[in-house]
Amino acid sequence: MNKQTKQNALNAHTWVGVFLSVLLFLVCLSGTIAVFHLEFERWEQPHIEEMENVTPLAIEKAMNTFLAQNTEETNHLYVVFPTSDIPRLVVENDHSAFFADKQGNLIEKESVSFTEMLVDLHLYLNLPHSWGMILVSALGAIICTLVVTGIVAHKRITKDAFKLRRGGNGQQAQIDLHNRFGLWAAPFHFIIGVTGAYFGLASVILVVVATLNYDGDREAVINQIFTPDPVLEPQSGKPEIGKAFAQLATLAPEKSPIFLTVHEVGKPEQFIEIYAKAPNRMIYAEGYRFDTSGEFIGVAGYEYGEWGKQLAWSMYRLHFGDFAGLASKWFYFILGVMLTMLCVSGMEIWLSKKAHPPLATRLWYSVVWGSVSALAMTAVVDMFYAGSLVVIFWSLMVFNTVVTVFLHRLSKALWLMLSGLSVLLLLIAYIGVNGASSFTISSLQLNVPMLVYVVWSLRRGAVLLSRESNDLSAKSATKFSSAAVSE
Amino acid sequence: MITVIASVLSLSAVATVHQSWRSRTLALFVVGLLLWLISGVVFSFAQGWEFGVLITLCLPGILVWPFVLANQIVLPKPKNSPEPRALDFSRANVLQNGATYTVVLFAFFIIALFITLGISALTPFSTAGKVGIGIILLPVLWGLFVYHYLATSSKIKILAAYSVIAGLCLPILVLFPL
Repeated sequence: MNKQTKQNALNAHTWVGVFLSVLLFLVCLSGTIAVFHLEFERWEQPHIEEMENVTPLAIEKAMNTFLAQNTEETNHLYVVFPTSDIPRLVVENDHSAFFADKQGNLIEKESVSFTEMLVDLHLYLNLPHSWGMILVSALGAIICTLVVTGIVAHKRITKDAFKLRRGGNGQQAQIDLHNRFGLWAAPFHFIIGVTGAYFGLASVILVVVATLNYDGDREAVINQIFTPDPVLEPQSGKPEIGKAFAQLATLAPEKSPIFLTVHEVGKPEQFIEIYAKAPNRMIYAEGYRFDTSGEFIGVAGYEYGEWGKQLAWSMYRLHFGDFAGLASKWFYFILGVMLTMLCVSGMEIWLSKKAHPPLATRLWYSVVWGSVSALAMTAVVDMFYAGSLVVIFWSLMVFNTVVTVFLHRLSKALWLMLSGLSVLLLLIAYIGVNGASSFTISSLQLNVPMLVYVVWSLRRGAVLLSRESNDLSAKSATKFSSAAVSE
Repeated sequence: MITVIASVLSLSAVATVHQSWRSRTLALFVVGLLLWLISGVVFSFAQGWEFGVLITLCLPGILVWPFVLANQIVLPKPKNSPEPRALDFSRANVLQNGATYTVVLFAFFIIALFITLGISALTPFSTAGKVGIGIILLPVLWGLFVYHYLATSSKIKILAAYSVIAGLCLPILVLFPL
């Protein structure tokens, strides 16, 4: 490839990377944390009883109690089974969700507002959903641009494939880290870009195809891609969910039930569908359908359906790494950290090529480490306040920005330490609020990694702080000696 | 157990490629690639082909780090540090970047959407298959168009050319419904 092609690719890479850096960073950071969104749901209510499985009787009892207490109209009823990635029993409708114990007694209302805010940040950047979804999907396409331009622009792709040059003024280390992350994890970045774009763009494709080819009937297009509802004799009565669930053990003994949905509740088209995870398959689940009396009707056909249908149905697990329990989630988390670091190092390279303009540099650090701090503080506020967490998070981000503009001493080291201290405060508040429950598996699986982050960020911050003060004293010594020479 | 064997094979593949890089030996590089492919087959055997391919592609991204860290060197501190350069916030620059944002995020979105659907409509698959192709193709085409636009000096020409292609896809979509 000639020099001009590489330079053009580098120009494209730089523009996209710099001008979309903040959005890319926020989506990558929230996505990396949101790999554990189900674990965060458990973490938010760590005292809830957990179990490995549940009986059909307990499910019936939990749903009956729930329906007696929640009489508002709903189109759906749901039961989330403990064999899903959350080992708890949950019964819910379109409005609220309740946990139940192993016997089917309702325990308390599900309250996962921090997780919801985190996932909303990742999927929509907390914007109105229609616009947010398209913007985040655009970032998926932008990641594809960055992967291609990054590889084309790399001048010494094979020569430097395993190199890491630290020290100096730090610029070479950032370049090497950026290029190593970018090259070796390129397949992951590409997969995340394509699957990330799917979540928003699929709905746009649907609207365009419906408008052009189906007289605006979106349902008709959805039915072509996903399996349409079954055509049944008019149904009536209470859905026999326990009977339906009991049959799954014989219908699909190798599959783990994730959740059950009663569609079109109280209408003549009412039916029950149980989603069960197929082992070693990327599809989210196979759907097992039953009529209101709990008689098996058939499968939705995702497991052995058309490849296009399987592909669309595989996007969730492929994007969130939710396919082999915690092992696959940690795998995705590490690769996600690398993708996030890629955004950070890319911007740092650009800033160091400009010899670190003070305000822009400080603002970038306030976005990077300040957002970690803002997320941690939002989780703290969530423990004592029931209002909008989106408002809290973005108020903190604005506060960070304003403080950064006026406080010239807010360097990378201080921001890093602040983020560590915020996570430490979160852990302290969490233990204060949840007491002994803070030491259950559902808490520790996130609290221990957070503690590791606290230790790392404080130590790393201290190292950077001492480096900064050394640089400062060296600079003033040089200034002093050059002034003495000129005198 | 089979997954562990596949992981060891993947690690061996990275180690072999690393050794080939150090010694500049093409034969070792080929051996490394073969080991990597074998690890993919073993992963597919253990986890199903879908996860097998995914893990095979992504695992080296993590396994490579011990080898990168083994090759790290420390550079001396530079004697001079340059003065920070001011950022350009001139009106022309702000307007130009604003226009680029609009083209990259909105214009190319519409263009890529219609070209993707046009291509998908011409494929010999069912609606689900065509939409499946579209799901993969749309972000890739959008990304490549953005690359082409940002890399070229004749931006208006490129934008116009892609707009014409997108316009030609409209009759295709009407004549060959998805």
